[in-house]
Amino acid sequence: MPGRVVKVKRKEKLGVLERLYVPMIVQGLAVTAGHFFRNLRGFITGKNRKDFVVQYPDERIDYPEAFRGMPVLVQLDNGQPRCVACGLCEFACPTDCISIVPGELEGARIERYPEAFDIDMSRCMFCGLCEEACPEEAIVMSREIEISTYDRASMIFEKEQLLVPESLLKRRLDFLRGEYDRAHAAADKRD
Amino acid sequence: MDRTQPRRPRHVVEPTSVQQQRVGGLSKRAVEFLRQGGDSFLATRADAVMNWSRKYSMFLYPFVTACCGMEFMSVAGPRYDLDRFGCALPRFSPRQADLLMVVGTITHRQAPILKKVYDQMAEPKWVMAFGACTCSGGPYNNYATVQGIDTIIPVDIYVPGCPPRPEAVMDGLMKLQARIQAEKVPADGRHKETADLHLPVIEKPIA
Repeated sequence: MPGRVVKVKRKEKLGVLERLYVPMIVQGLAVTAGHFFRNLRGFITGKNRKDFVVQYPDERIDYPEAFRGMPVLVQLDNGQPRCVACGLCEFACPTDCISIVPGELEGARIERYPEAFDIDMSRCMFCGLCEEACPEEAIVMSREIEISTYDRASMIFEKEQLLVPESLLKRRLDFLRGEYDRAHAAADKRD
Repeated sequence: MDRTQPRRPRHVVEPTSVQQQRVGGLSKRAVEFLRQGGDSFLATRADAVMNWSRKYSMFLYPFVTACCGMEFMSVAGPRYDLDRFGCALPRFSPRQADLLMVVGTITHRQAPILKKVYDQMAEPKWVMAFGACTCSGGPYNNYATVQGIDTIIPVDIYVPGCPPRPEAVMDGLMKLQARIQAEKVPADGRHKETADLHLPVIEKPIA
């Protein structure tokens, strides 16, 4: 429920009631009390609430499509990350919070895979440059932000904690593909 | 001057023997007296009541130094109202504050001030590291920035993000309240290990 702007036309000259002062004070108090009782009833019955507050643990606003939360790895149906450990995100990261140890699978169709993939969330600034650099759509920004912890060590997320099934990331992936399509179309038009 | 030893930053102060003897603002003898009940009903209920009242009436000291301050204003403002958690009254004197919210980059120049503010706060006190710069230095991995305020003062809750969304801050605040509920009264020192507190396990989120 976003706020709305109300344009108020103020009188140039004060009337009798304004000059008497007390009736206007009472009117102001009545407005305040009206808001109070309406929202009190709204909280009790759950209807006709007109206040502005997001009651966070119970309700939350929907973020825009382009919202960037913490970066996660896309997990394929076979449980493996889509990542091929090319190291481009590691290179693109402005805060050096990604560290990858590449491994090799003998005889598989895609031989490279990340042996370890750590992201230090305490340094990450959710800029999305890793996502932009990734040629495989393997690291994307999720909508997850509540990652506060009691100690510093548990802010380092390892590969297993970062893996998220592709189906849960559909919204972001669709958004990204739309953005890339738009960018390509614009580039084609330019040429 | 002995050049072989690494130089200690000026703001790191060794505790004196008097400070070591005192636990949570009380003398060791007083703590032992209060702890005599052990697990008795009275002692455990007293802990629960004290912690319950503490966690819902935190006065915060906003130590705002940088851009995270905008997000702090957002979370303290009417939209995401911190007051709903009993944590809304900013006290701009550390003597009256319980929760030190360190919001923004702490440079080495700023570090002694932060240390002084923390030392001026009266027990019980908690510290929230708000944003990536306070958690670990964040993007500023350089000579001028303190690499995490936990190198200077003990931190109870880390809220990473650059800056964190108001939801993330409120989530951190609720986790801090869970931590306060797990503490013993009187607390045996601010530097107690997190592992000893029997905190609720934080599950790593799935996006």
